[in-house]
Amino acid sequence: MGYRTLSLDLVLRALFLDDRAFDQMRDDDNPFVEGLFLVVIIAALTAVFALIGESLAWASSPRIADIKQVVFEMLRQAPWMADTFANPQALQSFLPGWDQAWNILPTIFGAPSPLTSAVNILAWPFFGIIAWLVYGIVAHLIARLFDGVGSLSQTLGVTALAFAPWMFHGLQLVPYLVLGGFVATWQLILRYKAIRSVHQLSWDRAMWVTVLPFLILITLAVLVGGSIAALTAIILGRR
Amino acid sequence: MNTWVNTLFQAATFKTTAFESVARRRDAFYFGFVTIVAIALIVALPSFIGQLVDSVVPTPPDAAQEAMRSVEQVFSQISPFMRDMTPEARQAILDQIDQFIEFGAQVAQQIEAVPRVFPAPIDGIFKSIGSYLSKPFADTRLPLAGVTLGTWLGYGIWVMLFARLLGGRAGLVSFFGTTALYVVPFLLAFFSFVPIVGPLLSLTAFVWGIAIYVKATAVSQEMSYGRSIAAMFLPLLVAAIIGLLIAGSIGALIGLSVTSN
Repeated sequence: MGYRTLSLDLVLRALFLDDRAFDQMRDDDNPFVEGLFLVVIIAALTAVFALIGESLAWASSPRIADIKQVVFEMLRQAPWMADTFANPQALQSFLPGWDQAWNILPTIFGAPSPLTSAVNILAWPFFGIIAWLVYGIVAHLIARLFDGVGSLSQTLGVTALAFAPWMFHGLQLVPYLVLGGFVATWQLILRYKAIRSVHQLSWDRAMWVTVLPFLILITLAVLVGGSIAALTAIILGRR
Repeated sequence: MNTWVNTLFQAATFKTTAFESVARRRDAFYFGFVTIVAIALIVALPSFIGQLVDSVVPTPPDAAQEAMRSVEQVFSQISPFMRDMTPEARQAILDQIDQFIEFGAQVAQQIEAVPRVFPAPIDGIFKSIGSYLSKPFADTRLPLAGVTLGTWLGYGIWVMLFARLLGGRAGLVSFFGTTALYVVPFLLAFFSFVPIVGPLLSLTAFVWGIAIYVKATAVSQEMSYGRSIAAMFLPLLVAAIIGLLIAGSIGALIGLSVTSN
């Protein structure tokens, strides 16, 4: 049974950039397991809080089906729609687009959806783990190229602390609360602190190790996306 | 609490000791976070109360007429650009817009009456509270133009980078702790709801905040004001150059495709 380093106090200290929190995680006997547990627990708990907030918003707002019905009835009486409603053919061509719009628009405009939020209880930990592993492994390889000294387990364990700002998503317990882009920036700062702590790099090297995984992954995504688009165009062009 | 208020007041009056004391704190980042969240919530209090009252008190029936008056006002402002339009055509457009606004108001009224799990005012109250508590976490279009964690961190990491490249020596904790003091003058924005005076006070807060940011960067990074100003404006310059390059490339590509067709 290994020693348990992880605690709420440690996560809060990491959140507010306390160097000792990162060092403590680095020196744990199994940082990888602690990191995995941290990512899962933060993602799952915040998703539960967000579900409560979303459910409250859903319960306080009218059903989408009722709104659709009200708007439809009002349109039926609107003078500029009289021709459409009087002509069965025009109405037949109007209705599919109308239904399609009501399937898409509520989601785009952020209508409360407890079902989507419930799915997030599984989706957030899953994608959190993927993001954590991909970033951690790429950052570790780059750090070693830059003469970093930490192990992969340490890199993954300490970079898991960069998920601490994700806790702000738990504030979505309050219905209609919106978070801006600061969470991602805060996570970036914590990743830098984590890389510096684990690999004992100078500030400029640690900075490059922090941002290069993003640049590499974006470049890869663009290349793969471009190749797929080009292949599709070639295949379609042959038909 | 007293020490905190005292530090904020001294920072607003550019006392170097205030910046130095924050820079030395182990919990300077936490100090900056709390300062920003607290001031953002104080400044947003009047608009929150207004929103809350609006959400509880039913919408007055003349809301549609008020919206129409705003449209007419906009029309009169842009009328110099519509010289070619006949008065009849202009009136026809206004009538059409009037019809749509009237329609929108009726739809809104009908939706308001639709039954839901919680009684109707609860939705408005939730929205007011959600919007109010979102203030510290929002983004701003212009760096340092608001009291938000987004501008503090998002703009701050670039200033930090350029400051270090220019010889600055601050750690992240002391830099972010001291630069958070830029939000203190924004307490003036509490009165932003006052006509004419409000926007002027907000503008004053913005300029005053920039001056505090320069001082905070200089003190925490142990560098001259000149370098501090350079560290603050270089990220904007780089962003502008990159923006121009991207816009120029897109323009050139469009130009090429047009000429090749």
